[in-house]
Amino acid sequence: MDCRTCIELLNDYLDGELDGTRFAEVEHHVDRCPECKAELDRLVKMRDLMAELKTVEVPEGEREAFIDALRARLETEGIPDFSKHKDLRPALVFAIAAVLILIAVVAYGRRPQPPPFIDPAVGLTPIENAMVDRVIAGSLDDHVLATNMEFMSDPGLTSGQALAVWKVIKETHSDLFEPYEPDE
Amino acid sequence: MRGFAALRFVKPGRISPACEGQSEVVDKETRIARRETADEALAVRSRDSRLVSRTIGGDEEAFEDLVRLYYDRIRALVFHHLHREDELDDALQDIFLKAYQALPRFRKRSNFYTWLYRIASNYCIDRLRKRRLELVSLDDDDTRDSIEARLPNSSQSPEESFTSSEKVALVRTALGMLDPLFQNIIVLRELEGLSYDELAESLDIGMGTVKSRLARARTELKKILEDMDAI
Repeated sequence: MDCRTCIELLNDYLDGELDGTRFAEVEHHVDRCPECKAELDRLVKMRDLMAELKTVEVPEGEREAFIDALRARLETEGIPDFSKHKDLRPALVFAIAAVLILIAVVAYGRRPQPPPFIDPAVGLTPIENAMVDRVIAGSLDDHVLATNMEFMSDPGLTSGQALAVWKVIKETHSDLFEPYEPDE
Repeated sequence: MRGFAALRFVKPGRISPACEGQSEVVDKETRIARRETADEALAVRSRDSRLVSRTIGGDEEAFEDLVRLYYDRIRALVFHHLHREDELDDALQDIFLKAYQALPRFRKRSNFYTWLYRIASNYCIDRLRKRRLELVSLDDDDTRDSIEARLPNSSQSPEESFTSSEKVALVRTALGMLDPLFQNIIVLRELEGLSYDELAESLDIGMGTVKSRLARARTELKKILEDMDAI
């Protein structure tokens, strides 16, 4: 151990905060190094001087007199009504959790729902592709066509959202769609 | 030096070579001592927690019991910071009043006394800072004279010449010259005997900050005492 490390560890040594190995290393070094020994002696002297301050006598009767004065001050300044300050943290946590859950539920409900059996990443099924072709070709109702083209060309919609709208339209106006048999 | 260290600074459970044969006995005693200490700490925390709950429930006598339990320690802490008997009573009233009003925010998994130490420490640090703002710079001759007047007048070492009261004046002066944050951690550690864990809890800082702040505070204090030829 070098002197710098030893000096850095002297207070921990005096505090009893060193493990056995480090403790022994410091002792070993200090036994052989006059400079570090002198530094240790200064630290011990400093602590001895500090110890002179440790005893602070409390005059007899002072504590009870203080409590009387404190009680009077509390009565003068108004004792806080702790019933208003009861631990509200559990209720607050519950309320915040409830609001977050409500927000999540509302957001989830308002979110355009992807069709349950079509993965948007995959795209339309062959049947739906054919239906889109027929709408575009004008072989389906104008209303469906207009609605259909409008939503399909909306740049604000993701493919999943467009698909979801399409599904709603298809289900709502199922009577407008002719049965379709895909080509083999 | 070895004997000195062995007498004063042996850690609990440390075994001197002379008693290695009794290591099992010592280990058992150490374990028992630690368990008893832990049990006592738990009992204190439980008792204080009940008193806090009763106070919040409207039992004023419960708070008075808390004041009774910790008055002496907080009084000593405040006195070691302010060193003014005439300011002591007002300061203590302010601190216990703050504690009373803040009781609903006390987290019962903490120790009440470290929480109280935190309130008292913050109060004292604030008071010291305000007091320093009121003082003129240390370069001012009057202030320097005032400090020097409080120092024991001797060129000899404290052990040789200073009376106990002179040593007290010496250390108080040195402490008063520290930054309030340093003074605070020195008082809590050296005079109130708080462990590193308790310091971290009382000051609401991490263990690394406890160690670095304490080391810097001790270095500063040692330098001041060396300048005074006190050590």
